[in-house]
Parts: sequence; C-alpha cells; structure tokens
Amino acid sequence: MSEPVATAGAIAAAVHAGRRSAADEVETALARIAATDSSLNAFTEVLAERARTRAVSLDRMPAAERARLPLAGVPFAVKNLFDIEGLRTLAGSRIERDRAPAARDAILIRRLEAAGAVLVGALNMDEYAYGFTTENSHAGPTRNPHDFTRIAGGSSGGSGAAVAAGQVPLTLGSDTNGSIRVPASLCGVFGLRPTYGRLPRTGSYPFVASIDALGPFARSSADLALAYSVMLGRDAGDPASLMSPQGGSAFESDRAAGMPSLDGLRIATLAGYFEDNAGEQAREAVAAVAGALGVTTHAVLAGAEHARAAAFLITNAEGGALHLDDLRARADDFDPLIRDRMLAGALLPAAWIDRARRIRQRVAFEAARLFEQFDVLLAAATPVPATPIGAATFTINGRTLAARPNMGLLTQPISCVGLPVCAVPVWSARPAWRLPVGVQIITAPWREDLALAVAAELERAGVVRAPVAAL
Amino acid sequence: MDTQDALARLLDANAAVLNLPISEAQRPGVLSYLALAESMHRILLPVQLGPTDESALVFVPQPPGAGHE
Repeated sequence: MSEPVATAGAIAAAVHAGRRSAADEVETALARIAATDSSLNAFTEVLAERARTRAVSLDRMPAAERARLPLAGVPFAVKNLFDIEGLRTLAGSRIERDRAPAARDAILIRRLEAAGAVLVGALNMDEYAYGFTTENSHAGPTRNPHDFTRIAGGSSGGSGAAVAAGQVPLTLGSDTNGSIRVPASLCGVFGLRPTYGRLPRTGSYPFVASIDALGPFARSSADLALAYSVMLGRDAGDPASLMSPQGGSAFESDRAAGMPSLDGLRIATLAGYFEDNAGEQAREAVAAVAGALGVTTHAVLAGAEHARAAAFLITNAEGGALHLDDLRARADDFDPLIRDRMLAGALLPAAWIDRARRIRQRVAFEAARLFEQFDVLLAAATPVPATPIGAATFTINGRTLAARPNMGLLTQPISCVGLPVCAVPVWSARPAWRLPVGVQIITAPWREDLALAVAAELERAGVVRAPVAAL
Repeated sequence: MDTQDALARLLDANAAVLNLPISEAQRPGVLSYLALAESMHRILLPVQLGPTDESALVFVPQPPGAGHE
C-alpha cells in the first residue's frame, strides 16, 4: 500500500527542517504513481531518473541554501503540452510523436525547479487541449480518483487527477475555456487560472493564443499561492506576458503581512446566466460558499452568453487555423473526438470571428464596470459533478445538454474576458452527492492575490477542502 | 437557400480555397460542427457594434533583443 504525498508546503517545511530529504519525497511520489496510475491513467511519462538526479543535487546543497528554496523537494508534474527537455511535447496527440524532442524545459518548469521543486512526469490531456473530459483516444481516458467510472474533467484531466490521488502535491495545466477549473471542480482540488498574460507560456504548446493561460493545481490554496508566486514574471517569449504588471505576489492581501483584511471586500454571487446554467448541486455549492462569506448580494455580468458564444467561435477558428497543415495532410491522425471540430473551425468565415473578438472586448468592459462595484464574484465552476466516462449528455434544470461541449458553460465567459479565477472544491453533506463541484472565485485582472485570499478564508472556515482520494 | 444548404456550400467553397480535403466520412461531422458554430454566431448577431468597438486583438511591438529564446 502506497502513501499519498503530503502538501507542497508540508514537504518543503520537512525538507527545510531536515526531517525528510528531497530523495525521500521523490521516492514517495514515484511509489504512489507506480501503485495507482494503472487505475487512473494520469501520467503519460514518469521521469524517475531525472527526478532522482535532481533530488540528489538538492540534498547535497548546503542546508542554508536549501532553506531559501520555497518548494524544496516538492515533486510536481505537468500537462504534456509543456516542453520537457529531451521529450516530445505531445499535447495529447499522436501527430506530435513524429516531431523532434524539446530542446529545453518550459519556462514555468524552470522557475519551479529554481525554487526547489522536482519534476517527476508529464500528464494526460484532451488532444491539443480541445475538450473538457480527457477521454483521450490515443492515451486512454484519465479516470476520476474519487470514482474510476467517471471523467476527471479536461483538458488538464491528468493534472487534476494526479493531485486528487496524492501522486504529487502540485501540477501545472493550461486553461483556455476552463481546462484548469473544470478538472479542479470534478476532481475536488484547487486550481488557479491566472489573468490572461500573467504567467508566461514560453515553451508550451498553444491552443488559442489569444485566450490561453497556464496555472497550478494543488490540495490547498496555500500551495497554489506558493507555486504561483515563484512562477510570476514576464518573459519576452510570450508577448501576452509583457502587459502583466511587474512584481506582484500571491500574498498581497495576507493579513499576517499587514495587508488589507478581507472584511471589507465587496463580494457578490453571479446570477442570470450563471444560475440558469448551474445544476442543483452546483447552485448549492455556490450558496455554501456565499453563506460562509456572508454574501447576500447578486450581480449580473451583462453579455455572459455572448462571451460564451464568442469564446466558442474564437477557439474553433484559432484551433483550426493552428493545425491547418496537419488537417490537410493527415486529418485522420487526429483524435476522432476533435477532428471534425478542427476541420470545421478552419472553414469559418473571418467576419464571424472578428465580430466575436469585438464582442469579447465589449464584455470585458462590462466586467470592468462590474468590478467597480464588487471585488470578488462567485459562480459554479461546472454545471454538474463528474459524469460517467463516455456519457454523451447531462441534464440541468430540465434541459439535456451535450456533455463534451457544455461542461465549460460556466467557465468560458470568464476566461473569454481574461479574468483570474481560483476554483475551490465543495463537497455536499448529502449522501447522494458524493462527488465534489467547484466554485469559481473571480476577481478583477491582476488580483489573483484576492482570489487566493478568499480561498484561504474558505478553507479556514471548513467550507472547501481537497481530500486525497481513498485508493 | 436554407442554413444547411448554405453551410454545405461554405464547406465546399472554403475547403477548395484552403486546399483542405474533407472526406465523405468526415463531411457529416464537419457539417454538424459548422451548424453549431453558426448557432453561436446567431447568438452574437443581435449585439449592436459601432465602428469604435475594437477587436480584442492587440499587437505587441517587440523591442530589440526581445526575440524568442
């Protein structure tokens, strides 16, 4: 029987104190992966030799130097669209198996390792990040650690599942339309989609360059904050990151550091579109979070349904155009779940897409106006909890919807306008609702610190939590 | 011409211009996704836009030395 890994903060503290070595932590993670991944299928590559070599170098470091590394000895893994030196960057595809291996690690991997973390592997995903279920036809589906018959969500399904299963305490994923928030919601873990442009994407495989964001998954908001803080900083390799404010920290609102308390925060629950498209359990999850924060106010994001439609069209067109050469030459090598969508995206009229982009900007201004009245907005992360693998539909509020395109109904309008979101896991007390649903804590651009601070407050209140799955 | 016919014509014309082969096996799926995209476009049609409603695309000029790694 393998033991799950501890949280990132606990691992770093144990390594700093000399109670555990980096090698101990890496072996715990590798043993957990070996014992559980045949059931989960979260990992597509385990880098045991690289991780052990890195752990040895950390353990040989002078203790004082190691103590300055905030993630000393913390094992982590990344969605397989991040470049890893010497490996092919698959992005969930068969086609990329024919490309050259990456010459260098992605910048966020380098930043995490510079902070003492240890990369142990690459994780499963929907092909080219175009999906919400991680039912990858080439690598097989990633299974939900809390119920193997159910999806882990996607497209960063391996990233959510690996954290929920206690294989690693920290993973990275990407989020275009909800690909961090959806698996966080369905796997019952914390996930952070930062502001568009906040974390540089240098060395990662793109999907929709005008919307894509990268971010972490973890079992606590404190771990998210730790990882997020060491990954901050612009990089010329990602032009979108150049508009990000310099500096910044996850801890700007930390009361212990004397920063503003959360007491005066103006928080509202998003009504209208976000209530209409949330199922009963999702609405109860939002009510539980709102209740713990003393929130009784509702707000409406004008144009939310337009932002969702715009996100759909921009995604479809940019995705299709990005892969046009391969669609011409070898369309049948694409995952059958995305091939025809990609082909259709390549054919869309330019005027449709330009209109979608102009409306996207319009809704971004609507969101900016809303943040003049409120600091934090709440909405469910997914309409429903995890659906069975292979399910074609789910039902909310009497409506039956296609499962694969609609699991992101509640996340798409928010990422379309580039806002930062921390997804927090809520577990119901009702026995029939044994799987979690996430809630989005949404803030104005560049205020990830507020979203993380509210998540931390909810953890302290016991309203949100990310238990390791019983495996 | 109804929408389905129009989308079938769009498929044929744009695929030809793009030199993008669409097989008979792929065609029904592609048409269904074109119809889904068209339904999203219809959601956006009532939004009134003026000439100053700019696209969300912003080009970022690159200073010397800012090339990719």
